Amino acid sequence: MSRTDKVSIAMRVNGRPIRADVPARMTLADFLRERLGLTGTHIGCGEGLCGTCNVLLESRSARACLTLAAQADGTDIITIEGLSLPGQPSPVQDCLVRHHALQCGFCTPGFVVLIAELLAEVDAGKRPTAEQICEHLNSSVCRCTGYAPIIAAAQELVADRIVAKANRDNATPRTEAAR
Amino acid sequence: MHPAPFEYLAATTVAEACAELARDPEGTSVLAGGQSLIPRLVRRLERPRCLVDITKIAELYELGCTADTLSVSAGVTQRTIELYPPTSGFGVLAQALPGVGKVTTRNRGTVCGSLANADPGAELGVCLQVLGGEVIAISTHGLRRIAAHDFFRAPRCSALEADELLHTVRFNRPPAGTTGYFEKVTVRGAGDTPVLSAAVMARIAGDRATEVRIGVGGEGQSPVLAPAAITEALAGSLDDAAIDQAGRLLAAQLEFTGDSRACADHRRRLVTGVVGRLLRRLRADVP
Repeated sequence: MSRTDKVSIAMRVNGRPIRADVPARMTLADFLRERLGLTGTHIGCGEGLCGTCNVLLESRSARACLTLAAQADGTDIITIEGLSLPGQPSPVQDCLVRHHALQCGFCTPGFVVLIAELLAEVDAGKRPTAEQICEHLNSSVCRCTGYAPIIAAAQELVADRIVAKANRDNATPRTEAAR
Repeated sequence: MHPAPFEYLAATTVAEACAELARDPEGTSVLAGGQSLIPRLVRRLERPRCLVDITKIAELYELGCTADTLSVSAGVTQRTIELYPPTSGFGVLAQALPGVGKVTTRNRGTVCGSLANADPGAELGVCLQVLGGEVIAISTHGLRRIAAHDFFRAPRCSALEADELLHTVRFNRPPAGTTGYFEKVTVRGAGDTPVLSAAVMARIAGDRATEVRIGVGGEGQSPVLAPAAITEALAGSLDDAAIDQAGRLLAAQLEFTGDSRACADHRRRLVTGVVGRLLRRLRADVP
């Protein structure tokens, strides 16, 4: 391979295979919004401070504004659009609404992505404390709600997920043993 | 905001990355996580002609732990070593990691990238000084080992040559019976670039603290270890007078500068306060 200012990339975005030629300097945030029309990924500061452009890159949250589209070659990306069915809020979004955890909604996609990452960690066996939930969410900033309702929603979602996982874990092995 | 145009190359071997760096050392930047580099590019503070992406090089994902060291190669992210169980044996490093940037930047940002960036207040540089260790640089001329205390030359300037790639960093394991504490001061809370980072470490032998090490870094002053003259006077019971004296002597020797967040004098007073607090925490561990 040699130096180029145009890069050919192939990746999966929300499960869909994508191929494109992009300028080397194009960020993943611009690629998702301008080339793929996935405008749910918002651009706030454009330099990694605010977290509105968070996406899941290989199941881990990443700043789409600090990742070049070229670097995302060969990866699996999930954006806010991939976290719910079209036209239907996901359980995470529902919970945020119930807690009045958004006003203007600009930061919300970033928070939904962070909460999705947190819930995946719960599924993998982690049991985050209230403090760890706050530390996880401090990756994004919100200028309207003052965080308390966002944190409350995240705590409820984590607690529900832990209960659901415990019920599942209790159900399966016993039936296996009974057989 | 967009970076100025540049060329891009995703190297697949270390040799290829080194050859590219050698072709145009001044105009080429190494891109790993990009969590410090891309913000500088979008602000147009840097306009490299080419970025060499090293994240597709399998060799650079090595992460290993021996009885003596924790060895972290250039592709390993901060989040990976934060979640790596053996890291808990490296006291101050394990304490500092969960506060480096935010979880989202730790997912992409690398340990070696943070060190190569050489921000004077960065947490990992101070940890490297206090734990001790070495940095392994590679170029077309071969490997070069740089001791931890020789690595930071000046703020944002490391001992790496323009054509060298930081290949691996090794942190020394603290000897048995050693405890250490890390603390930083930020303006905007967790995840903010520290105004000051500080760490202390000592071996607790009987009712005495020995081999005290103090590391600090902040704008103007690259991560540095307190000189032996200051730390030797601390050996023993760590009484208040000795702690205050050490903090004052150390603060007077540091070459802080002012920036938009704090003036040099404020940083010197922070050193006295923060190092004093850390040493008192160490004292609480002495039986």
